[in-house]
Amino acid sequence: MPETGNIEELAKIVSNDIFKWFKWSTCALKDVNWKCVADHHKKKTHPSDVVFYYDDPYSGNIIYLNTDLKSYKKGSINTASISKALSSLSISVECANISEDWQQKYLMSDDGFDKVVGLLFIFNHDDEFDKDLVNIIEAIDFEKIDIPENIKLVVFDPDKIRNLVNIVNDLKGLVADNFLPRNDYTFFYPDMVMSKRHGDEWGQPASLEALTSPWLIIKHRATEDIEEGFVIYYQMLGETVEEFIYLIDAMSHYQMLLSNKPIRVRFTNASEDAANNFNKAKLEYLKMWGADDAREVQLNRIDSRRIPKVVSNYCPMEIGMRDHAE
Amino acid sequence: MQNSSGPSIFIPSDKNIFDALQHKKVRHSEALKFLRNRGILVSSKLDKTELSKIISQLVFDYHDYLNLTKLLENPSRKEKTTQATIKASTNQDNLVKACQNIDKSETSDESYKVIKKENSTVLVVTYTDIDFTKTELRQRSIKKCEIELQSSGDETTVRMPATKKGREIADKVKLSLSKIVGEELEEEVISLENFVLPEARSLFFDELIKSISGYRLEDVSSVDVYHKIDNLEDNLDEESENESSSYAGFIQKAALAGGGVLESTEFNQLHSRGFFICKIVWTVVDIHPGGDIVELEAQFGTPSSCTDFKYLVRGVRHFNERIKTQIVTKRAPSRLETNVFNNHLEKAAKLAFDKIVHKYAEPENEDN
Repeated sequence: MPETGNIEELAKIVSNDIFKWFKWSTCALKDVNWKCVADHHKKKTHPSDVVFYYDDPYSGNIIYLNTDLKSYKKGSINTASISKALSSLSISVECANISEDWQQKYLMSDDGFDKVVGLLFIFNHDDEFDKDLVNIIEAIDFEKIDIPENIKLVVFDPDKIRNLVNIVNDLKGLVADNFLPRNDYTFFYPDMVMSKRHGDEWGQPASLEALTSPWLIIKHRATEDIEEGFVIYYQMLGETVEEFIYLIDAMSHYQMLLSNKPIRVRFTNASEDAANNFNKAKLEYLKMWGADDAREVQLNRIDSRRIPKVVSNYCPMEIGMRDHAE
Repeated sequence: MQNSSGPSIFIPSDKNIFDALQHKKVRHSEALKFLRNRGILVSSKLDKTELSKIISQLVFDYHDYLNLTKLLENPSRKEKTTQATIKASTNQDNLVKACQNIDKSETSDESYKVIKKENSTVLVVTYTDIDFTKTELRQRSIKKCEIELQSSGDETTVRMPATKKGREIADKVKLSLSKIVGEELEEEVISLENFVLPEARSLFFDELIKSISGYRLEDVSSVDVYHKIDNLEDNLDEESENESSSYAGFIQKAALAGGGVLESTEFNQLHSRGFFICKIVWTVVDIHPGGDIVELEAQFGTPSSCTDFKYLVRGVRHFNERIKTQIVTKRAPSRLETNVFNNHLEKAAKLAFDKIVHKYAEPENEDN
């Protein structure tokens, strides 16, 4: 396995570049094989490139992410390669949930251990990946992969990764300009009807569910240059006024408008009309609920703009044709 | 603008989403697909309740919300059609103008579109239908109401869905048109309210099914008969009421299905006892060889008074050249077929109505 060193290096970079900002922790051991405990897997060991963990905001349990870092050439991101990667990750995660070897290597404490989720992290190392991974995933024969009932797998494709890196870059920019405190921010989880947030409002990580959502909400404390408030990363195109009326209604529903805190909506992927549509939505929203000065003041505290710098592809280093190395 | 039901865009709670996903219209595969689109992969063996729990914890954006409500909609439910004739000699330009000039001041949630066709004017109203008896995400649904106006001679025919909304919009068009023409407009609808003899009421349907131009009656497959029990207030014909009430018993309404229903002895027994037809389903066949068989339906929405006449083109059994007969399975009529047969039905209904007027109107007054 000639690329062993590379994987460890890459895992460090990824966790520093991206997941540290989303308040995920990284287990010390990287790129390690551990004993398989399921006979039907017909394997001696399973690999773990890196294991992340965070406290789930809604259950309070610790979620472990057994992560597979894959780097493909543009042409080799296809149904066959993704199927293969998912099959392998699926059985690894099935084992990780019950393998003593895995638990000894990665588990921080038995307390609060809930489950191990599989994360497939797909880089594209030669060019901008332009296909839609949704179609590739749709074409996969899931009967063949046969994900066990208690197992959850999450795929971060090049597009998703690019989005996450863009968000992190924007956060770094805001911190540098003193428009966001370096650590004093939290991912925001409103109480829902069927589940309530666990633990303190502050210090919450970005859960997998939040990172795969159309928007991501951060609450931050004041700096010298800005009051306490919210930052919302909006990941959709923003081509309609209606979607923003809906977003504003969501803010209201989440009680974000109550305290007149500044809210910065930042578009990661938006069309040119997004900011304009957002402003129209504010007016529409006011009209819908009848003119009300207090509400107008609240809505005027919301500012929307596109994030300034965007990367087209994130690829910190080449790790070669790892898809053939298992 | 405020209205009693709140804004048309609102964010559903996780519980609303969970409840909506539980509905049988959201299929298991759709729930799985939703998760896959987010990059979340789970076992296809998880049941829908489990999947719904996972999904309801996720953030729904506006597009997700629209997609979900779309799944929950009733797809293309066939609405019956009804028509009214307005006594007004006018032209198409005036009809277009009437549609454009409708008073929209109280209709924040509706959008109007006027289409000028070769010989008719169509007004399409898109509106939000609200039904608070349904689960939250199903309460609102976007519906279309199409009104077609056709002017010929000194009459204007208004064809509309036989719904409350259809009636409401048609009234608005009428009001708008009367402003343009500058006079109060009289409206003619098909109603047998003034004809209380069961024979007269049944004869209407008997004539109707035989009067589809270019088609011959093939069979009658279902008939609903009704026995008038409630007093029809002032315009009631006392004599026939006394005559029929003696053997009314408790049966008020009966439905007969089968083939050749009108010829069956059972039907004739009921008929002779004061029951009259209030709804009929029949098939007609093209008089030219090699034509299609068409299934039609006509009824009075309020049978006791024989008002609220409405009709529907139920289906078409296409002629198959190879087997030299009409195929057994019927398919939904095309838009064009629906139009053509609605026209036929309207004409036939008028013919039948005229016959009843001719046969029963005069003597009825004298008899009493």
